[in-house]
Amino acid sequence: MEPGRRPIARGKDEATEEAIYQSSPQLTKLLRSEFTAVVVGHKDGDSLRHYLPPNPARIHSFVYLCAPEEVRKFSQSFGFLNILINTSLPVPADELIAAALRQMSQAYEDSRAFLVAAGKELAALLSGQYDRLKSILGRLQ
Amino acid sequence: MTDQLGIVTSASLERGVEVRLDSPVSVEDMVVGRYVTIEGQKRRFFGMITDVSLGVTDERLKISPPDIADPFIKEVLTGTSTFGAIHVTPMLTIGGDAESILEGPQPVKTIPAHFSAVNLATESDMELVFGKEDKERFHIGNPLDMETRLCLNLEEFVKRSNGIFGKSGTGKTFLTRILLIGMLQKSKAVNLIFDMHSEYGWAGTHEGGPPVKGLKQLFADRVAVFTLDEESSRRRKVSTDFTVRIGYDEITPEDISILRSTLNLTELAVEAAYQLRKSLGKSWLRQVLELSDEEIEGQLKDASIHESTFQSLKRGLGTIGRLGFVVPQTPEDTVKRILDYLARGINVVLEFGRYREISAYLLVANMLSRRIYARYQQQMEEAVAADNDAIKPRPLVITIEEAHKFLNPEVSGKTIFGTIAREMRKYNVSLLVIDQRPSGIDEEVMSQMGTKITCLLDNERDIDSVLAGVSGKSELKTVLARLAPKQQALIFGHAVPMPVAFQPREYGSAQSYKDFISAGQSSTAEQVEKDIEELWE
Repeated sequence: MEPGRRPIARGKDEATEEAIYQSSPQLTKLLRSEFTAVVVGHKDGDSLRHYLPPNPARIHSFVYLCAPEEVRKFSQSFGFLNILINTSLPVPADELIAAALRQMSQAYEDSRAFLVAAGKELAALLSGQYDRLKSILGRLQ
Repeated sequence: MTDQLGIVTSASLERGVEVRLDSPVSVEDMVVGRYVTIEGQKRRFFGMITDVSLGVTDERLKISPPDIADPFIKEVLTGTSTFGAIHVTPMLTIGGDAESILEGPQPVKTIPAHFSAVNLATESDMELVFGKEDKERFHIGNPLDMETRLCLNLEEFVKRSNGIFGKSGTGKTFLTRILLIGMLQKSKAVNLIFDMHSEYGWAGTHEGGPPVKGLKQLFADRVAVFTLDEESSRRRKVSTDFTVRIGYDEITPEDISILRSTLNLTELAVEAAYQLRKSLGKSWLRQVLELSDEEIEGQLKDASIHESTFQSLKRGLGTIGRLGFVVPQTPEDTVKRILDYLARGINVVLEFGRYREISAYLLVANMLSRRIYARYQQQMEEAVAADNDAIKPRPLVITIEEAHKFLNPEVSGKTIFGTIAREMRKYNVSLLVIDQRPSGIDEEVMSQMGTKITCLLDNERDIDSVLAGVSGKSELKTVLARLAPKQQALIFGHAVPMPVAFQPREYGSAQSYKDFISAGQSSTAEQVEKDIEELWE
């Protein structure tokens, strides 16, 4: 959608959301979803690194969701948490951390054990910021 | 290796080592008095837990505690934001190289490096420090919360005067009995026990249980029971070896001066005793007690003793004269009899029977010890002059109860026990002091004691006086004050490489008697085996 233009609510007379897109097929082309990604690690040859790569991702690179197997491998170490804690984002970093860990935990059979381990890492990183720690921990479950 | 407890986070030789516990280790499993080893970079350290504490990384945790109803939050925070910490006092160290391993544990002179791993001490660690039960070492109990046998080198133990302290009812008597058995079996020393409450010789009382066997029941051929009170012994069905009687002429003014406060005498009255002895000779006491006032008046004038002083003295001496065992003439010399037994290696227990008042105890213990000590001194000097070790008398350990009555600052200079404690083993005589009020004992005497064993004490002054001059005093204080009220003790000093809190071994069951008796025999059996082996080599 063009910048500066605000969307107009449609579908007042339609029965379902699908019906809106059926009656105005242009919408699928006009509206698009954007997402921002924070780089938390990279793959250097065979090994995973939990810090920023030397170069940013190239434009037009394809973006894929990580497979659960990759998530598991990457989350063996919590080095990436430090990047998330210190990053400045339009969304609250604490929410992001909690959401990321919740997502990751689904790749594990014992998701609780994973969350506890992550929580302990957070407790070490946020040792002087108990309030922040508390709010993240509250969102982990 | 056992599971790691934690890591060293800060340390100072003076203040000890701070250890942060690893998160799986529960702070509630850590008890004061337990042993830990610290694996330093170049050496191993042995230390004792002297304090346990809880820490938080952020002070706000204390102000607004997390929701502990949520097990998740609790689990995350345990060991991270909130953690347990122990304070360890390092005691000994063993270097890593072969030479220092041979040397054995040394007193600690340095501290472990940062983040050294801390483990609970294992049985083999304890054995390394305290040694195994052998010809000289005697199993006295187990370190707190450990199965290891704590062994005490009794040959070393008897080289100094020693003390056993503790409030009444904390198990001093049981502990003493165990030590006496140990000395009887594992050292060359013989014991002379002044048994105020008739607890050691034949049978002893046991709170809430049947009476326990005394030394004579267990080691009939090595123990003789002497008594001051035949009737009481007969009532208790004790077979005694000798009835002690004390003649009037055996009592000297020195004995009276020790009894000054118990007999409520004035300084002048004691002085008068000396003067009377001078003018009346050896039989002064009999004369004072038997002669009428008129007969003795002339003497008083000569010695310029005031009438009221004399009456005060006479009243005091009357108390002594009324003691049943004090007789005008003794049929046999008690001291000689005791020395005979001791020379044959037989331990002597002197029961007081009904004479439980402190004046009787003070009088007899002091008088007999003084004369025995004099004989020892004489024999020892003869041996030194002849340069012949063979004629040296056997090392003697004199056991006294209520020691603060003998060794308080006022009389310790006068009693023989003060002298023995100070002169140490020069004449092969040492003391085993049993007391419940160590603060009453002269500091100088306390400082000369080799090994001290103390059960629970809760008076601040008593604790201070027992621990005076020990390194890590304030740490030991926490350990001492937290001993269980019964059957736990802390031992430190000459005979042990480092202080240890322990639970004395069992005494009183049939099995325990068997163990005690066999402890001596097994070592002889081993010796025989060894001899046979050597024979065939």
